[in-house]
Amino acid sequence: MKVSQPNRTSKGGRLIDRGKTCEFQFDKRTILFHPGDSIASALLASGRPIIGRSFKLHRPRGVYALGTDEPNALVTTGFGPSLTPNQRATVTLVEEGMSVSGQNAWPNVQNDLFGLLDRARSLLPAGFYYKTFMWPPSQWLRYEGQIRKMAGLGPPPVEADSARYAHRNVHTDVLIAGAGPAGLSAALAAGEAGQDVILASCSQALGGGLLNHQNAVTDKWLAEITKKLEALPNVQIMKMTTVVGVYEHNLFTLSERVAMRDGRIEGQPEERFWQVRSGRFIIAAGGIERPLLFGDNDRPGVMLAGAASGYIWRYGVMVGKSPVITGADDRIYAIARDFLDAGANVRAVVDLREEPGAMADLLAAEGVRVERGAIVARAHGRRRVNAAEVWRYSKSGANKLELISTDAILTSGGYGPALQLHAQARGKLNWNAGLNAFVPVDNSDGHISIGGARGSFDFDTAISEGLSAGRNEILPAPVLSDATNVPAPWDLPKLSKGTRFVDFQNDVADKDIELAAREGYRSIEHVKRYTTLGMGTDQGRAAGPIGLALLAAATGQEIADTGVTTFRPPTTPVTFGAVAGATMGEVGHAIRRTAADKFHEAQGASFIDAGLWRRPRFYKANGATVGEAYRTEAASVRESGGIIDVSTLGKIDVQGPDAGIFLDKLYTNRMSSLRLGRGRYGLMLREDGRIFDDGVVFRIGENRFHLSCTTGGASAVFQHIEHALQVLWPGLEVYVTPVTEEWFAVAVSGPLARDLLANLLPDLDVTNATLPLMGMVETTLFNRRLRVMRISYSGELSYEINISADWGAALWQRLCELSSKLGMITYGTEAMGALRIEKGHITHAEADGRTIPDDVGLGGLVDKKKDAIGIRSLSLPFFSEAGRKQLVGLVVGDQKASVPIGGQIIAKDAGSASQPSIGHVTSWAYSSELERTIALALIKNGHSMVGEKVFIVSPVMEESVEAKVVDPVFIDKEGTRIRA
Amino acid sequence: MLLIPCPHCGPRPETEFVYGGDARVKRPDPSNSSDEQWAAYIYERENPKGQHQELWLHSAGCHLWLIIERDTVTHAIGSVRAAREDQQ
Ligand SMILES: [Zn+2]
Repeated sequence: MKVSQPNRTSKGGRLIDRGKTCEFQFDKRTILFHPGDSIASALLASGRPIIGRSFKLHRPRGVYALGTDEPNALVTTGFGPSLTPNQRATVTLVEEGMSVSGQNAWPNVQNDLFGLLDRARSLLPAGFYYKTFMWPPSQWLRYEGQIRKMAGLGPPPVEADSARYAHRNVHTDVLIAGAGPAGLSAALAAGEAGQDVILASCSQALGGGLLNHQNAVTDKWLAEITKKLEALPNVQIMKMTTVVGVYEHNLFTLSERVAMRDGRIEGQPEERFWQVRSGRFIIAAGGIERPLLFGDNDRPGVMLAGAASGYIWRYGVMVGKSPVITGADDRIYAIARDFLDAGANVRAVVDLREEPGAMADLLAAEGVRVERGAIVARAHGRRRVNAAEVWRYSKSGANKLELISTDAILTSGGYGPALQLHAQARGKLNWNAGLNAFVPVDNSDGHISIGGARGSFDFDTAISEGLSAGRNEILPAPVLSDATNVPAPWDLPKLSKGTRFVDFQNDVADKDIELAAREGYRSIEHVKRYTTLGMGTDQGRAAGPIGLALLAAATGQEIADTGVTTFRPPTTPVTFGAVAGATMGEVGHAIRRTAADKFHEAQGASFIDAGLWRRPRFYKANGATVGEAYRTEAASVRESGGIIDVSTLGKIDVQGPDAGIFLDKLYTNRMSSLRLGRGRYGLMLREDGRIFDDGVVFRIGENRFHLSCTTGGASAVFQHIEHALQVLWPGLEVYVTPVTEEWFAVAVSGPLARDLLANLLPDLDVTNATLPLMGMVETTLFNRRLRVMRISYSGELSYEINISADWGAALWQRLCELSSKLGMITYGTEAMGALRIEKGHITHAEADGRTIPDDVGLGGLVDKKKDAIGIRSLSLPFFSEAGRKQLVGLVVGDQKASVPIGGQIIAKDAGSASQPSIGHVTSWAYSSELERTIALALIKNGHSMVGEKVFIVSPVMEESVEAKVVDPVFIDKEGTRIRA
Repeated sequence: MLLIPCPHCGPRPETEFVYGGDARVKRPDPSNSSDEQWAAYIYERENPKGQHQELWLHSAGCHLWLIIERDTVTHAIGSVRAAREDQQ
């Protein structure tokens, strides 16, 4: 296949390396490019007019702009199976071997069958989907599937992203967004003043708008200032980097394309996401060129005139060989000159002004056709422009002049300041009648807009504003009324046929906005959502001001009073990968391991996440599935005994003269009365009376206590305690230290627990006299301090042994050896859960942030005679109203049935008509001891329902089982075993 | 993201802190407050526009509970002091 670049000029192109010609694929066709080409410039050079399809109507679209304001040319890029959708072809550099495909079309953008939608244009007005597909509501899901197929952007990639991403955080004195004359000057002035400067350029070269022209004076200036900046070590120049977000306290986010600049580099990410905290922020983001309104102004070949010049000088690409250039200021003559110099046959310059002046005369004298007081009323040609319909238009009237054949209509609707960054920071805007644009109002946040972003579009002003801003001088406010007599791009009459598009990406036309106004929409925010104006990836950079002006006209308001829509970050699309950075996979999820973790792994543990911890859920030696294993493990604990690593439980050391008083304020029951070496189960409430956490408190010194709390609650409990100490009772002298990580903890449970303890510590007196329930002794093992606390979670005779964490692995190993000799096993959290359900102990499933102590049968732990956090709330009247959900046990009728996940409780059989839920299952397990399925549940007035029959149902799973309400303590109600 | 000047640690990003609510709300004496007063302490909070006094815990830093003056419109931060010192 012969590949060529018909639209590449014979020489020039500042950004490309003509010495090298490479290949990439576009929709499976080979396209040539030079290093430095954007996807758009390479496709334009190849003479391909259609790059995308519009969002709603699937109209063929070509490249329209040069930078981030591009509304049409969205493509999916990739290397092999790794795809990135919705890349703007204008700002994405081509790389060797890249495959690029058009979007939103089937089978491809050249021949899109959905393009038939365009023929039904009159049937698809603003709000069409809202109006048509809302009724009947039951059908919405069916419609949605169809609509999604037709309307959409690129496909999500199916394969895992192979690209690498990174984050960087930096502080600087000055951040400058934009590297045109204003931004460069600001960087130089600030840099020479000794400030740390970050200069972000969204392009691969410095110069901004200067790159779009050839001019000896500005080119020399650019070369000189670039040299000076590169010599300043305190100025960091970041190319291919866009400031995308402005946040509180001068935090900025920047998106940097690393690989797109340098090719894939070993050890480097493809994109970097920067968080920059900067003392000052200088916005030098330039201006945004605006489209003109005329019939079928979206056809491939219609393009922004300034952008078209940019393609010549940046990339050596001539977007048309016989262009018609139209607009209402002198720039169109400079652009015509660019095309003439590049070898084009300029068909006509169509100037809206009746007396444009010397530039027009000069060009006309060279034989170029210049039409004064004329406009292009319509673009002809469907897949590519083939003629411009030119009309004479003046105050005296309008008449059709001629159909001028052409391959490109280049339009110049003037420039408006790029306001996104200023407005994101809630900067105010003023309407500038001279520019027909909003301009930024300087604020006091250390932000300032300069150059084009301020509305100052000439070279010298941009430089002087840049230098002043760089030196942190105050700039005079922009002059608001100095009319330049440039007609606004929206003030053009509709003279011919064809839809006049305002927002190209979303197919919003002038008549959609007028329709919205007729239907009563007044606010630009509502019109935006109703018509989708400005909701595309270009965020309506170009369309916004025109849409606003049309709405103002249609509603009889002033533009200044109509306001602008809210700008939100990011200003340009940022990939999710860049936001996630390196925090993906294992790096994205920190894992805390107990001291015995590697032994658990060696013993065949299957792990489960508990907060950040990973804990053995069960040991595979005890069963092939979790269900089998936990039943075996739980049965063994009750029969002989078992050991479990409980290091993850939170542990807090509380000491000081007021420690006892303080604990009395944290727990509902009294802790100050604990004797030395004795412990007590305690309940903490939130101040609103709901159960917050529970655990055991031991007095380990005269003024010292050891608190335990739940694994998941540990950090919240510590915060809660610090709040109580620092905010509620700052007068108490208490010192609190979280010590969870300092200890390794094992629970030894079951009838043989005492034997195991005696084998481990032969010198210790383990009798009930020395070590009764809720007693504690300190001893040593491996010459390390060891604590043995007799507490039980399983309902069996049980001890918790704590040792310094660095000896945890050794303790675990020793216990494993000794316990297996006794026929005891290791067990995991799943068996622990089954054992505690049999005993009716609560976890966060029951203490779910709604229950109070009475609800779960722990009202007896509340000492109402004292003040502790949450106690006063318990006497608020609504807590004593009937109908509260209360904790009960359930015995499932069918002995081996599992309980429906998310099971709701109903009073009568599920077969009958719909009935209200009276509660829900909080936990369930198969009880090896009872040989049947049991559950804990919260049921309305459940305490009075013991003995009644209920049904556990899951309407989603279409499951239902019968159960009997019982007391939540299923075994050993008297507590004989734990006292054994 | 706010930059909070912790009196102990210096300026630190908001992500190191945990928000703790309105610092002007004081715990009433539970034995000497009506149900209405107590319920107001638990459930009623103002949402001021402008100057506000807020509790923040420097949880990834010194673990001080701070009282921070913040403007809810501009995010400007005024005085920052340890809650403990404020009340003693
Ligand atoms: Zn701190």
